[in-house]
Amino acid sequence: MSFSDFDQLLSPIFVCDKNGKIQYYNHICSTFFQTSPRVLNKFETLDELIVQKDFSFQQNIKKALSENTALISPEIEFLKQNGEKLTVIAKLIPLDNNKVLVNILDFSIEKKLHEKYKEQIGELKDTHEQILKADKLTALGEMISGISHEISSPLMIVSNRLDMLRDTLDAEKPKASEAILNDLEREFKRVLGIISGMRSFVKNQEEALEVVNLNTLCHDVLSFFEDLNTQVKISLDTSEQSHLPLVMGNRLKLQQVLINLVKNARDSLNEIKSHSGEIIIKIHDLIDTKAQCISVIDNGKGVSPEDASHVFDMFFTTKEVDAGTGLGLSISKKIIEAHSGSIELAKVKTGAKFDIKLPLLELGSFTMTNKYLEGEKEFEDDIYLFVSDEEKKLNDIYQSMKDQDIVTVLSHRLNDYKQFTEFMMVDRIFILSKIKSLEIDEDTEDLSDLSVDQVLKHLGVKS
Amino acid sequence: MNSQFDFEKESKGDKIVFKLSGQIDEDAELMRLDFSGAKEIEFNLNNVNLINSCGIRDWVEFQKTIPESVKISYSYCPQIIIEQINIIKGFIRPGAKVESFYAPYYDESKDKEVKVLITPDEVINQKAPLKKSEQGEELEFDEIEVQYFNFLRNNS
Repeated sequence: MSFSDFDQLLSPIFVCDKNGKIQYYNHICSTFFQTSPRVLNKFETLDELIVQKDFSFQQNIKKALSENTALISPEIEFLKQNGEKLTVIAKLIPLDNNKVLVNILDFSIEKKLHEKYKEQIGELKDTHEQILKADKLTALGEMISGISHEISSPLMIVSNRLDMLRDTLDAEKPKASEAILNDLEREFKRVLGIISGMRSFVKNQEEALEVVNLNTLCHDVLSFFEDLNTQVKISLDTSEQSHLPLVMGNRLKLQQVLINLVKNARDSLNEIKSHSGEIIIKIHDLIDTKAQCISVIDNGKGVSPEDASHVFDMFFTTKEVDAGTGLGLSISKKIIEAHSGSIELAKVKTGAKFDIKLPLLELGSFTMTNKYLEGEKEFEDDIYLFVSDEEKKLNDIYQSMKDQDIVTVLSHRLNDYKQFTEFMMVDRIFILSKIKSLEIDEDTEDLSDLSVDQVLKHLGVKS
Repeated sequence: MNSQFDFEKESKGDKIVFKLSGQIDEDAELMRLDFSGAKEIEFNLNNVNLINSCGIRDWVEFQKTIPESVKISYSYCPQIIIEQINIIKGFIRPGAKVESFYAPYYDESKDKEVKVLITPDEVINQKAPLKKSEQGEELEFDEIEVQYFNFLRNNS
């Protein structure tokens, strides 16, 4: 085979002698380097064409010949005559007569596309963040609107009572004065509470995770809508709860999801001007699937089959222009999925029903403190289970343990926690509340008489 | 997308001339070239300064959307286009004609590369036509003739 046969090939081929001097290059090389043969002929070695100084064709050609084996270069850059760089790898194959064939594989395009892909993914992430912030601002706007309404009525009462107080003081009626002062105090506390709630919303707690009592969370959402004087009846159904509905999550984000769902349901009912409009938030556990379920049910016009598959799409809305951004449900879905949960539109005969499923407290705490599952660690840490029916105690334990190299599982099922110990392969169990007929074994410790600080001290953890 | 590709469209009766410019790459939206109603299309490639493998793929696919009844020609093809025509099957449609193209020459007196616009009928037996500089100096063809003019064997 003569070297000229390589002229038919579409990949660049060089043949060099034992000293790395170029003896031959095939026709495609001039196209590849966008350099005329006249200019290519001026280069004696391939090293004159490459940018790097940490790779030497001459040395590697000698090595390939001395070891009589093919070598593959690391990623190297060739400099074209127009100043552009080509990213390639080269294969050096020893031939007879002390010559080496160098085959060039170009992947400049792949590298550029990869860089462009990373850049665009970054832009998408930034855009997504901005959308989330925009939605939060929308929710904030609505809350502020509600808060303004809330603040104005107690302030009116305060103002009125002040006038009355002035009159009664003048009239020297001390008992009546005391009652009015109590009113004033109560209403001022109410205003302070509202302001405090507003601060906690604005405060940057976006990523904070905690033990969330879904009953309390839903009550907060209900009172928010009650204060908005909505005509629709909104109620909470807890009749099918076997345990307190505790989950791990971000309180504000979960609240944002529920406000979105209830607001959608209310808008749907307002749209049809229903006088018997009703929204039910139902919280129940699905112990078989290890999930806590929140359903938001309304008796409005429902979602058409055509729209049902699009309700979670970004910018999808059936509301009139300016009435909705089409972001609420898509963002809600993202939030719930970030909690390892799911949100679905259930099939119902009348109205609409959205089901949110969140992992039970035990599963949520297990996954959120498991650095092995997060890919941050190669091996799983020890797994500790803390059992208490006190929400605050569990939360304090979580906040202190979350940065430790320990997987922290929380359970509030005093009589039922054992169902989790085996499949989670729990190493140690700490009982933090009194349990009747508690069975103590070598893995279980009864710390029910200790405070959280004492428990942490017992475990050697700084509170 | 930050495409640096652009074009101008000129209609001359049933014929459309597309003057393409910039980069034909993954961001070039070739489908923007609306050839509806045309019986003849000329692609003027004078100002195309880059084409990469993604652009080549899109270019080949785009040409497949042009009905076979439409006559296609290519003019002012720069060297980077001729190199691709020689390598890529389907880069120009079978039966289509390259009307004019640039050939690389070297002006030894000025030590300068020059691109000279030539027509296919100037190339005989895959030999570069004789070209002279403004000063009347003979220019040296600056490529491998058999490779550079290979596409002319099938030029209609």
